Amino acid sequence: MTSRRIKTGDIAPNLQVVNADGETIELSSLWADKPVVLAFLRHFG
Amino acid sequence: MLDQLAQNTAWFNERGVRVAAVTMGKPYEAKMFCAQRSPDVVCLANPDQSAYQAFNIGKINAQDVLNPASWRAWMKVMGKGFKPGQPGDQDAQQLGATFVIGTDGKVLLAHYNRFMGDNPEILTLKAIVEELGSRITA
Repeated sequence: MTSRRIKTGDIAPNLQVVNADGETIELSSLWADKPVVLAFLRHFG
Repeated sequence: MLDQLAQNTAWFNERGVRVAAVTMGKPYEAKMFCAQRSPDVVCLANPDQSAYQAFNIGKINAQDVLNPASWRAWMKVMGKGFKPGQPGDQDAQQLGATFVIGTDGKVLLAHYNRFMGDNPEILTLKAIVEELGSRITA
């Protein structure tokens, strides 16, 4: 992986994602009002 | 990772911290998966993996598969009773990662899994949250 990894102190990327109800949301809405633990999962299992 | 977070979601929520999981599933798959495994975790569907790419999360390579640390981590996860499933049509090479992000958008912790099962310790995540809480109340 040659892309720069995110480090402590960096601003987290924001982009549009889809929630489990199929609604498009801003990822940043997850941390807009409270801190978030954001886990990127491997495949289901 | 999801199982560990699901077991501790109440702890995080009580301290004003949201717990969210990005999956590679389609929305209906993510909904079913999270309803079964982690009903209190905010679940996202990212089948095009655009969020994984935005956070520069890597993929497993052959070296990772041969890495003894990978197998030790695998055994540790299995030893805790977490059984991995089948990837189905999802990217089996995609690794995971965990971030703690503050309300200003700043990353407080970035953990990129180096291999399968290389998740951050839940105690590490809790320590970050405890530190965050002490800064807020200071």
